[in-house]
Amino acid sequence: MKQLTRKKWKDPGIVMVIILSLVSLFVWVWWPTDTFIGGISLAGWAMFVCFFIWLVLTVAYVIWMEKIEKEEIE
Amino acid sequence: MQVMEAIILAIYLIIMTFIGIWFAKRAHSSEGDYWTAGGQINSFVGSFAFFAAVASSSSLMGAVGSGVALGVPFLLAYGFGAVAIPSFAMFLISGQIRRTGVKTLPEFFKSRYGKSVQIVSAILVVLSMTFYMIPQLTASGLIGSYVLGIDYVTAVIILGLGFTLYAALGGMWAITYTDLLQGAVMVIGMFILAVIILMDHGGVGSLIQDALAVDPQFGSITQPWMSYFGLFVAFLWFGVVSPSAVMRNFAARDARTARRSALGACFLYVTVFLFGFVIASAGASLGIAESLDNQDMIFISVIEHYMPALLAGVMLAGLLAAIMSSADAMLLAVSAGIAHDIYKEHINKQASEKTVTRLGLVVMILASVVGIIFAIDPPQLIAVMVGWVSGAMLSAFGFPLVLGLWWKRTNTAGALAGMIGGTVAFIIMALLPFALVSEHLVSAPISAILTIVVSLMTEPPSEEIQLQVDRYHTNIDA
Repeated sequence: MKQLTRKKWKDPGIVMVIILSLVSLFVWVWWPTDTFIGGISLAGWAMFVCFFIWLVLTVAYVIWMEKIEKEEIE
Repeated sequence: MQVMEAIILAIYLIIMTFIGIWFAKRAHSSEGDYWTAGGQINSFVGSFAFFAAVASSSSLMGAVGSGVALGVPFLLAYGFGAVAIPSFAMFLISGQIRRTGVKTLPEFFKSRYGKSVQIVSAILVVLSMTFYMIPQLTASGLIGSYVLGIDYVTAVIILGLGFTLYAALGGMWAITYTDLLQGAVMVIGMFILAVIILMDHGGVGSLIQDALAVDPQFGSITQPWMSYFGLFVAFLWFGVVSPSAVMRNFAARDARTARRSALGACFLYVTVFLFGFVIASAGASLGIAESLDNQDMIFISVIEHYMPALLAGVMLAGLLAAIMSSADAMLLAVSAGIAHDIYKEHINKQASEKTVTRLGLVVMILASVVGIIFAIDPPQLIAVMVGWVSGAMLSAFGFPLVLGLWWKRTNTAGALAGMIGGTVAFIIMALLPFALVSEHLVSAPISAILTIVVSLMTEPPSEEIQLQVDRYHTNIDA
């Protein structure tokens, strides 16, 4: 039973949720509203950069899951 | 009346209706086909379908309008949550919920918690999805009245009934395949518009400077931190708690297709928000935001200003398409909630598939009529109404669903307490004077605490249920 609990925490989905939460936590704590780059608040740019981080996390998850499936078949 | 735009819109709606009728025969052959397209959608179609179902009128008109009215960081906060919608749902629930083998959200609640939770959730799905029809119909009314030169109320009635027709006839088959077209029109249309704008202004840097020259606050944070954070949380969780998006996931052929569809949808979201950024900057540079009756109209103003009539017509059809696909997925969720989860499950277990499908059709028409009646005099701005629905669904379903999949100690009493307590807390918060779109920042944690505390204070679920939860996590492909 404990093994299953440990397995749950190692689930690729949970790992990705933790990374996503940490990245967004960083943005919300940092929240640099008074620094401007190109006329737009750095807080805005930080959220903008995260669009691409979310995409990278999703690609990583899909590849990871397909690798696990392949290993299980073999 | 805008003649060219009106002709293109009419052709578009006729094509959609034909697709609906074309698939009607196939859809009515079995109940499984009607609700989830027989589980045979591939990842390319699935990407557009997932994206178009979740990207509502608010993602386009509301995000651009709010980016101009409240500064572009507000649009970026919208995208910050919205781009992660397909991914977050996939990470947290999609694999587990596929393994449960259920077709609807209330059906999951039944297999995990029993009848009482299923009935409460079915009622909440029906109420929230019917309410969600109002912003969609409001947006379609704004576009329709502009293009056709008719008054707003008539436009709401004509378009509302028009796009209910094909959804009611075809079920998920029609919705999924028309979504492919709608998603493509939306993304390509926004791409063309963004390219025209960038050529006109001579690049991103000078476009932003043009916008700042008209509105110096365009790049600033203009709202309290809580409003941005509330918006982010509401959209991040949308894919998890929206019954329509979850049903999309079931429509994929297998787990691998479902994952690839979610990746495709995430990519489409990134592109749409990149183009949205450009369109909002162009909207701000026009300097007309203050003169508009409704800030949500700014997107239409940008289309008309930059695009020739022919392309503008296609683009408006794309916008209407986004609204149509979202509204149709909602109608399907309402229809499934009553016909499948309440009638067949609890009122008439012997009902034939034909009877259930027919009842679903009647429910769809009734729900759209209710939506039309409210949309004639909408209670709030589009973005605020969508934020309310997302927040309310998160407060009601978020934690009973996620904890039910991941924590086997969650029991029926806990789920009921979390669902009802979260909904009541949300309603109280909405009635109190509070920062816009941040009610769920209080009500969702209340739901989580109630689900956990009440579960721990009462008897654990049966051994059988606990084993069932373990099975959600025992293999990857199921």
